[in-house]
Amino acid sequence: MNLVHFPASISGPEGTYALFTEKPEVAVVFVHGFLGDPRKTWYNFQGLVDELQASYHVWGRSDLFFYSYPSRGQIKPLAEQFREFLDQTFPRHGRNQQFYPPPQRPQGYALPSGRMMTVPTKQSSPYKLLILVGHSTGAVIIREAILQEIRPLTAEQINNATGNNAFIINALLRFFAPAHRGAMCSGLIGALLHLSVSEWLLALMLYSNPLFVSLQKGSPVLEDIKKETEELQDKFPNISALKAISLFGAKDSIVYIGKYKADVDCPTEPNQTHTSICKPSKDYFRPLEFVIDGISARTASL
Amino acid sequence: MALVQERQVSNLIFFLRDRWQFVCQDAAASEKNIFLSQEYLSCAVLESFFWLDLGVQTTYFPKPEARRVTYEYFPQFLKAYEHIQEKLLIQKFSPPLQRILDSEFSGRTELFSLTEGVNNLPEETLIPLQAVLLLGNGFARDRDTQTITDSLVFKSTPEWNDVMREFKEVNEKAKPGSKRFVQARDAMSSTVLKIVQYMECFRDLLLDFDKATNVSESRRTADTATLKQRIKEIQAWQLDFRERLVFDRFLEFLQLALELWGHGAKDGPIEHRTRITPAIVRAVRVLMTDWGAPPLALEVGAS
Repeated sequence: MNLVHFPASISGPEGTYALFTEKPEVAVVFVHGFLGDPRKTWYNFQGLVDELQASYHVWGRSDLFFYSYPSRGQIKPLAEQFREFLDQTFPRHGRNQQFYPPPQRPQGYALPSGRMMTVPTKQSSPYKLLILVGHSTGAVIIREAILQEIRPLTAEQINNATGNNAFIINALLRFFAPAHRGAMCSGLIGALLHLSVSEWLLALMLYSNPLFVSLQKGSPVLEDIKKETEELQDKFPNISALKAISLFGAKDSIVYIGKYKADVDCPTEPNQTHTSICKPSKDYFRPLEFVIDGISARTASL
Repeated sequence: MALVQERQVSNLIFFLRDRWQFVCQDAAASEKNIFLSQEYLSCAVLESFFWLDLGVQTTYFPKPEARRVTYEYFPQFLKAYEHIQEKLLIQKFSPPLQRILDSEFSGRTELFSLTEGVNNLPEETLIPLQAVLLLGNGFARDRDTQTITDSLVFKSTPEWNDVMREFKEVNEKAKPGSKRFVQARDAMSSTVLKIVQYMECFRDLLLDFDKATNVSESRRTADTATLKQRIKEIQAWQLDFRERLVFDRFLEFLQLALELWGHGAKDGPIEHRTRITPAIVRAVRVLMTDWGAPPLALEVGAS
């Protein structure tokens, strides 16, 4: 049980970072929700992917990217920025335009004397799979980004996608407490007092956050994303990035529990809340299992 | 990157990029820094040094490269050390940390030779250590939490009252829903949220530390207990609730943030004031005990 992943700063919005491994085959990108954070929201994926690698060996072959964005602005521009990050992070090489780990791994640091501290660059292989993991509004940003990716393509391009498009539209989507069916903004804080204190504070703030309120059930933004995604799900049933698997806590009091037509249904987690649902611990392994669930079927060597 | 040494160098490079370069930039411009006091910046520089030292003692960082980094930035470290000595702030750090400073900056011993009980740890402890560092770096470079920490710990009473006066005025005079009101309310509550989330994550991390992945076996040892203690000590200066002044200020800030929410509370102002605010304050108060606050029962005088 040793450290498998090593942390690295990567280009992208302030706070974005990655955990790289020696021979990655899978890239997992985490997108937090409003008022979330790329470190605390996903805590402790960062440690448990190494500590539990004997049980979940796929994590040992996965690079983890923790995307950060400010909790302001609308879904569309936030999704555009996220796509820009994906484009920058995964450079394409070779005849098949395959996606490689970013050039920042490994990285260097210039000391005041001008001396450079570096580690040698190693030859790396392209990723075989991309998993996009979203929490709360992070999931909505991912869904909008997928639509932006697909919109300009013809049916033929979608079905025979290569290069950039192939990597993203064949991604797997794993959502924790997604806000894609709407946010609850009318709840009473007094009803939440059995939950953790950060959950109350988050609810207090989200219930009056203008952007979050704009994602209430029936909001035009959410309705448009749902309608367009479901139409595409019907037309392209084999495109994995159109179908999500979502995991909700039975005690969620921030978003409505629900899925899109062709999404995969998943039982709720009995004791989990909106924020605890995506935080694995040594007493709660489900988030670790959930993200990589079914990957072996997609990538035989894994 | 199969070699252990390469992995260690990579860890160090990330530490420098993720924490040190921000601390160093702020400290280098400390005289002109309008956000943070020199006291705060000096403690932040020394905290970085303690992480560097802990990383070396646990073999997370490579000793030769960590020494090189220390030599290159020695003027900053020394300036910070001298500043906290001059301002009598050395007590902000625990006795083992004080001994490390004394040893490392005295020039009497080889750099990183004083282990203070943290050495030869099992390699598996590097996993939670890396997770702690990731979490701690995020907290340390957040401007909102930096500013409030500085105010809580280092501002004089008149300066602190000035900070709070503005928020109190908003609470008493600004129209709920006005731009001024919303800005003040959101600024205060997002800061409180960040601190509370951090305290929660940190508590969970320490609880998880001893649990083996096989739940029937605990891996609690004297070594991990020492490591946990050191991790707590290194960060303790930021939210030092052992100090009555810091303790009282944080609760004052929290109460006021909650009062601002009470104006537009859907639960109703009375419910908010009589049930919600006390419940939230009590829950935060429990979290504060991990950071040196006395147990809740002691404070209320329960037997």
